[in-house]
Amino acid sequence: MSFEINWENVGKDAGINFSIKSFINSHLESIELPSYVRSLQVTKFDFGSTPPNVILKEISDPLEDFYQAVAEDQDGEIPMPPLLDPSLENCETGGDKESDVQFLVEFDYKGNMVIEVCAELVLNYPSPSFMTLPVKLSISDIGIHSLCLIAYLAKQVFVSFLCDVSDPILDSKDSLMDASSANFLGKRSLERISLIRSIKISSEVGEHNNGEGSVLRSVGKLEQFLLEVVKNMLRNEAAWPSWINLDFNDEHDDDNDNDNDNEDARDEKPT
Amino acid sequence: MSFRFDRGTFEDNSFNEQIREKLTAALNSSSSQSESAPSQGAKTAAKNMEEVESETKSSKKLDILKSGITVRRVNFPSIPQLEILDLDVSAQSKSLLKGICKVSCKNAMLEINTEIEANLLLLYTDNSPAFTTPRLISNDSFTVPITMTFDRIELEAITNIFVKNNSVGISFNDVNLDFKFDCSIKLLQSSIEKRLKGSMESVFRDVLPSVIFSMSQRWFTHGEGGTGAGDDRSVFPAEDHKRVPKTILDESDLENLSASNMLRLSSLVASRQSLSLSSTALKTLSTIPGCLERQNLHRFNSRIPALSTFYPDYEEEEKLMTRSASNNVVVQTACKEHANTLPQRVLDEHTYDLKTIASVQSRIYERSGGDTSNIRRRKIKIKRKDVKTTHSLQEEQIPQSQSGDTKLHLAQRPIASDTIFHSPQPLSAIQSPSVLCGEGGEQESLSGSPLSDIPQLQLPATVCKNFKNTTQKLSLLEEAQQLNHKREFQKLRSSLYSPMRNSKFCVSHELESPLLDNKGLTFVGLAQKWKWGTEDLPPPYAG
Repeated sequence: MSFEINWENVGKDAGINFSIKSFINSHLESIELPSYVRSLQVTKFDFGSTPPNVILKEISDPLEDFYQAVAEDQDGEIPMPPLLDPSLENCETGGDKESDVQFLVEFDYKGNMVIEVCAELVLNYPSPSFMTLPVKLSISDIGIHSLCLIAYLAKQVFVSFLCDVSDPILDSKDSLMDASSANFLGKRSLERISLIRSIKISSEVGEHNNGEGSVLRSVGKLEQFLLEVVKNMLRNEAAWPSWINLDFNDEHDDDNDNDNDNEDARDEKPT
Repeated sequence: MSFRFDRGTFEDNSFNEQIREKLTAALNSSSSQSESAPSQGAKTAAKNMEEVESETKSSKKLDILKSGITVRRVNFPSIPQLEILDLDVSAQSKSLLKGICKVSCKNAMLEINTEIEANLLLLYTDNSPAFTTPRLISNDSFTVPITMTFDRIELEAITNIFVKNNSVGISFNDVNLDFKFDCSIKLLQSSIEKRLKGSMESVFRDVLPSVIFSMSQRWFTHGEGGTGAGDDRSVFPAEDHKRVPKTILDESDLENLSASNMLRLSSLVASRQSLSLSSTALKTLSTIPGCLERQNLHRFNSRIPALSTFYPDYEEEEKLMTRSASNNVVVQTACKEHANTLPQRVLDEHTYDLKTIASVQSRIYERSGGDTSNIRRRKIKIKRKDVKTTHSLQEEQIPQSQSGDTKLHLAQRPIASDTIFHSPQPLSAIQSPSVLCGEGGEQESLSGSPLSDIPQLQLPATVCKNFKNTTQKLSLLEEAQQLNHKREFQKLRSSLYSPMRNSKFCVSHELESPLLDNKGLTFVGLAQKWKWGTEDLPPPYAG
């Protein structure tokens, strides 16, 4: 069973692209950057015209690992007053498991999404921001074909990318890339998932100003390096056995206001 | 221009002032400590190459200078340019970043003022012994103020920059330096100018690179505090000297070491020293832990946790069956395994098992050196109240798109501005599912432990068959979990086997007393009087 995505509406609507861009930017602003990086922002965001192919493979009970994690999490938070909140206890004892659910989704994207990111590298010597080096990265041709687990339990959503799925198009790209690197020699052990199977990062270093000087374009090694960094980060953060946990539980210091119009429509209302 | 300089600092003259102050400080410190002077001087104006002049000044270590040096004026009427011509980033440890830059600086000006000794007959009697010193009627000094102006300094250079782990190396390849020199004492002008220009080459070849290198090392090691760096340097070496190497070769120390660990280590060391692999084994190569015969490689590979082991791609499997001795096939399969993918066909036919995939992935993670306690499981708290507000905001902005709304929301959730990012929380140590089936002995020892709750990995029948024969040999590859803290062994192990095997030691019968006696193993652990026969089980040192 696959989702039908009305991608036309998303891809062509400049408003959505713009709002997502501004959203990411506002988030980036809130991050505290190291002193040598300044004004990191997304300058262009385009969904592209090719929709992702999302196929729901399986609906089942969540894996044990999720329950373990939840249980341990609850144990770890002893200082918090759990007794005051009977609803939480309900969740952890598993008395309310009917609403727990886990989707196994095959996610296949080989689209033409384009993201452009700008940043400035700063030298703070001898005076603050004395010298800056603008760097522009344009990311496109993202290719993903993976199995993704989405589990919902105890008012928490777990998202984890389980494994890659073989794909003739992406695999051929992959092998081309690896042939040049040292991976071929078996120097590196098997990576469990690469998640982003293909990506194109084109870089632009320096500033073109008044027709003077030159801009350095397409620094291959830099692009390769960034690709590795991004891959590793995603692998560490979102690939099984790691996951991203979105907690919809109320904050403890909140006065426990119950919003029943939860987006998931599976809200476990405290009784 | 590739690099952008802050115009403000140049326009409001603050840059000139800063350079002037730092140059003055550096040049004056040079008279007291001539050794560190060049580095101090260059540090102040590393990027602007103005220290070139200061270098040559401070290299005159004589007492001919009668007063401090004051830098009267520094002027950069135009902003210097730094342009990147090439960039090379490599993730390897050798060199992180290489770049070729073009530095150019135009029309800069520098004016230095000091006093020099003009009495050529002056005798410096301070350090000479009294009995050699003649009685002088007049030995007065005669100081003359001198002002030197470097005008219209034009610098253009191509530099190679290497940024390594904690240092910056620079080499100047193509230097074009030109300046107009003007001295208040006209007599000396030509001589000084000649000397300055003659020493320029060594400045760019030796002095500047070494100065920038040492400066960058101080930056990286002590943060960017450039001024306090001198003090730091004097403190740290003193601490280093206090450290006394500690020996642990007392009798009592050895008692705490695990006997089996020592045996394993010593046999490994012995085999490495002698290059004789058979010394560590009884009969065949394959009994050596970590040593593998070529013809057994495919068995070993088939035991490596990978999706392709459990869900072999059908075509690939055929290749493996008909494999010849040629290396091509092996390489191909290795490549295949490198991309750890689930075949699309398996997915389509629903012949996969979710738990199997999950445990395989977990094990690959463990094998790749990931500590199970370091699993990143980021928790993003989402206060429902705030999510709702942003959500509705979104609706107001784009009311016309219907389906986009829900998708937008999906994309939004992780990046909502009001989320709280928790630092990575090690929530649970994932317990590895016990190893492959077909090893009955090990499974039994596991029963009763919490590990036994983990679902077993099921091998496809074809793969299982492969294992049956090799079980005996491969069990020698076992490693004990207690070795976890041994760093080197961990590396060896992680490159070979899954770390999460058995909680108990599994020392097999590869250790025999003749082996130990004959080979004259030098490792200290063997001094103890342990005698293990072929049949004896080793004591459970695991505790």
